[in-house]
Amino acid sequence: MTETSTVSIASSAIVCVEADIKGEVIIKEGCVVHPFVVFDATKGPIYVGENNIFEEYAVIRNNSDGQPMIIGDWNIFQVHSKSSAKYVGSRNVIGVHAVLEDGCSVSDDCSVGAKCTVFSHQNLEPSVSVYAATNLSRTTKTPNMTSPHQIEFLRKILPSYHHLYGKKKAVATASASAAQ
Amino acid sequence: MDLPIVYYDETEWAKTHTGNKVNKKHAIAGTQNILIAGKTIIEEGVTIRGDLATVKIGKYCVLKSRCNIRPCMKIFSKKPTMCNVMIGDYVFIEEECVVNAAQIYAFVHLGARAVLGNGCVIRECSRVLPDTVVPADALFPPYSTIGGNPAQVVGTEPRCTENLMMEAITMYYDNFVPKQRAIA
Repeated sequence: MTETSTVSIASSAIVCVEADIKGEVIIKEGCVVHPFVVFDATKGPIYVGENNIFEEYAVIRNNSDGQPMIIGDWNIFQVHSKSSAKYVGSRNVIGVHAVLEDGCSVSDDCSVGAKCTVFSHQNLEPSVSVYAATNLSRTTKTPNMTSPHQIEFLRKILPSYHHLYGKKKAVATASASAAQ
Repeated sequence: MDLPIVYYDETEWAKTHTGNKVNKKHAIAGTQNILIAGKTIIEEGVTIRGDLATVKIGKYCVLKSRCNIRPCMKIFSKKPTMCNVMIGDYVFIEEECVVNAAQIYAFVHLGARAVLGNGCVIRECSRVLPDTVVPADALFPPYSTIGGNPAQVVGTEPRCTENLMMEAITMYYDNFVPKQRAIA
């Protein structure tokens, strides 16, 4: 189903082959896409910046008609998060089972807690965190810790266990034992 | 308490010599780093990320469908390490749990759709209610009932939890039997 001609993945990005990518998706340098991530760009393109981490079962879906969906740099989309925001800035953490509804936008340094929802009319200001069952939000002073070490670690370890999207195949486990 | 007998289709399940029953539609990565003691049931769609760090699972555990076990990341003096996950004996994990915990001790029951944050520790004989969100690095005492978002201790489990869990999971395992061939 995937049309490889419209999917563009930078050479240093690690995208596991189990990821389901449909439509026009551009993934820039250094991103890490775990297995079973879904990119659904059938209704409009998805542009992903640098050094983002997408964990298992995250769903990135562009539900707008033709409008591009833009994701900045250094974001982490955790397990089972669903994102159809029109814009996601940089250094955000989208928690486990969190939902970004259609048409919302998230600026920089935000964190959305586990099982929280950002509703479609919301535009999160910089450094806002959404938390608890009732979707409380407040601004935080500490910026999100971007961890270049974490993404570096993942970039090192994932290719030794998973086949990568495109031509790259899993290499011997020698680099895995070196990483540990 | 009697649990019903659950029949499974033998063609969709693999049974190991230590008594583990694993559905073939799992999503387990890095099998060389996963240690399962035995008599554990792993249902359809379970994800275990053995590629990130070692996962140790004790005997008589039940992992219901679509739950996700992944090692937690800890950052010691700038250098991150993926911590090994240890799950004790007689642990029951319900559907669609996301377990990022560092350690789950024995006789723990995790309710459906619970989310255990990065590096949290659940002690013996605890029960996590359904839809609970346990924050990162949380530690709860033994025999606690844990519920809410963010999670709090909302009660205590009975002193006999150990026996109850042991009895229930043993019965679940014994009643989880292959479907009988059609008798003519």
